Amino acid sequence: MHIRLLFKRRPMRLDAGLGYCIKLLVVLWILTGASVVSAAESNVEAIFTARLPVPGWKPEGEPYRYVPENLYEYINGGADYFIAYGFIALTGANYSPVSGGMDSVTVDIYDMGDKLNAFGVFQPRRDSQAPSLNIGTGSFGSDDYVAFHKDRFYVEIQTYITEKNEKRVVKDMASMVAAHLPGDDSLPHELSYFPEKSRIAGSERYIRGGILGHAFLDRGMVCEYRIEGKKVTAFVAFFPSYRDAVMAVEHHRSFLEKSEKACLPLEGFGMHSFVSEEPFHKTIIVKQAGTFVAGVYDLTSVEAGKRLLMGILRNLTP
Amino acid sequence: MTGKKLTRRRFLRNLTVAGTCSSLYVNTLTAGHALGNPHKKYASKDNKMDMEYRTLGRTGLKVSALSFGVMRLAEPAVLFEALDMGINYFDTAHSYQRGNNEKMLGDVLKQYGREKVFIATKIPPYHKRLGMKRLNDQKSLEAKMEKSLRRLQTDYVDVLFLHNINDPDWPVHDEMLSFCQKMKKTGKARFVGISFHSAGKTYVDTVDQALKTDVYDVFLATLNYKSPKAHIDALKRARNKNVGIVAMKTQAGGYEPGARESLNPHQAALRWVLDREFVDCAIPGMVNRQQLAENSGVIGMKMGWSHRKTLAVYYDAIKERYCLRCGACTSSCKNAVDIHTIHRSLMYWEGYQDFELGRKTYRELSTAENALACMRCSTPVCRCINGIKISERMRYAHTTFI
Repeated sequence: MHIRLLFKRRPMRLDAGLGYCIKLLVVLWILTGASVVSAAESNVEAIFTARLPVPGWKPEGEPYRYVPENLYEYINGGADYFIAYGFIALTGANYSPVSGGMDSVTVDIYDMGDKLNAFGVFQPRRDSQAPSLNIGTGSFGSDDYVAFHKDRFYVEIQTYITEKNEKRVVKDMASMVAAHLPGDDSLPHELSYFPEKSRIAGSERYIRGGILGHAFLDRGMVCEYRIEGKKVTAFVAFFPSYRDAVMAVEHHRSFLEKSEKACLPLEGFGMHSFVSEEPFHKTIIVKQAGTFVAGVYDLTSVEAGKRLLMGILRNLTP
Repeated sequence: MTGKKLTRRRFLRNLTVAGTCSSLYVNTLTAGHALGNPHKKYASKDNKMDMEYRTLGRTGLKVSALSFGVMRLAEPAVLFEALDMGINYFDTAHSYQRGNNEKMLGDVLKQYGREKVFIATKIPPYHKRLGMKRLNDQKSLEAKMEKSLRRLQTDYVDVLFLHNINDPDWPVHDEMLSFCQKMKKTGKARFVGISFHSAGKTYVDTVDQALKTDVYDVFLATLNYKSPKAHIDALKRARNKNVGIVAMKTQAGGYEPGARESLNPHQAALRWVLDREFVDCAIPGMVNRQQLAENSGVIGMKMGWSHRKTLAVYYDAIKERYCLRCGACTSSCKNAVDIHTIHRSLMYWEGYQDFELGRKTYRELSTAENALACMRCSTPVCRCINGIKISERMRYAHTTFI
């Protein structure tokens, strides 16, 4: 009897034990996540309190902080741009030379929430001709300005420097900030959707608000390729669900048909795909795949576009 | 709950399919014509909608009442479509996208024909940030101007603004005046002006100080249906002195009301601005064709009773949700609920349509600070002097974000 009960009860205890273990793991996982976030935040603060400035410079007042509601007080209408890309907070500080004088350096660290958003605000501001400075994940700048992104952060360092021998300070401060920001130097994984062959370096953009100016292609990546000597543009739009992706293709088809552009099936690509003429962008090919819509435009040859589109579709993972 | 909420984006998606196809049809037809011959100018007279044109104060420029704030735009095709519609005034700035915004506009206008449109750009008068307290010297302002002209691929801009004036003394500063006069004299700027976002007395003082100089031809100012009377009166004074008035931030808040009515409140808000007789044009920022179609929908309309009602409903709908951040409620909560941050979380979602950011902000609060206590609170004593039903909103945030 006792043995039977024991056997009867044991599985229950095991279930309960397993349940507790799972709950404990979930709690630990949440706590770990929370501590990572708060560690990231404290690391950003620590950059200003413990790492900066470089020798020969001193802080001018306390670090400042802006959030979406008051960012425009700091950067005017530019705030809308950052907010559209998921801006969470800006922490920054001003520095001046220990020796005195009018020179100054301003360091601004924008927390954009994730890598893709940080990349999104960095790329359009980048001067395509400017060489990378090898700071963070991507960077550009000059003697008086450096911008870079790393992980979820976008950083701008601006200076007003009259002393020639102090020109180095902007890059020194940038390197210092990059070295101590939390996170890693890898690019957002969404870039891997695009095959590297023939891709024009630096042309990659993360768009919020409408690829090709279409609200129904609200969010996604675009980049340029050089194929057969001609520049074409590829895109991948992201959607929350398969249904949303299918609807976007139908909206696109409807838009083009209203523009008196024939939408023909894209041979070899199955359902929810078409070839048509996009206003101001020559021939376009489009295909829905899972929660994505991918396409290539500015095409003069559909076949070349198809090869590129096929390459993109192979890389798409939810 | 989340799924049923009608956001601006969802609304526009529906609107695109159900309601705006006809306007898109008109717009894209003209785009189609343009495609047929890429070297031909993109708009023909026949294809233009009945755009409303007004004289921009003493400049005499005939600008489209609906003009274009280019700042966030990434897709040049939207500019071509705007040109097709008859929009002829485009607003950019030296600092937008670190100059790439000016480059994009320059590329488009080079194809379209520079002489047919008006370009407004802005140069920041202050040095970088530094609390925006240190003014640039004239030499560096001129260097910035040269850079902007190169990016825009033009020899001149139609209106040059001193960007983001937040100190009423700046417009009367000798170096600023000297820079503006030199730009006019050399023909690099046909007209000059100031732009300002400031609030309260600073806004009014900025207008009055700038008017004293008689140098500035145009003001680019925040104006919307929530603007205080003092701001409106200041702009009227400027217009009476024949200064051109360009309105920005015209659709304050970006909120959508919970319940839908037949008319779009964003359109009503824009129409409200355009109906002010002292306003010459408005420059809503647009990033896609749907926003362009939405805004162009107000052209030719008059603010009727139904639009006023829409706007009133819109305002009513947002005023109970829009926290003015006065802080008066904080001490009224018997628990330690962070009312301010929870309101901010809701604003990210309802205002900026960014659910993830709202949820993230909310979830960063500890259980002592979030609205868990409100879920259990049977006798709420929290109160808002502006009429927000705090406990309802707190519970709403908790059920939405947790």
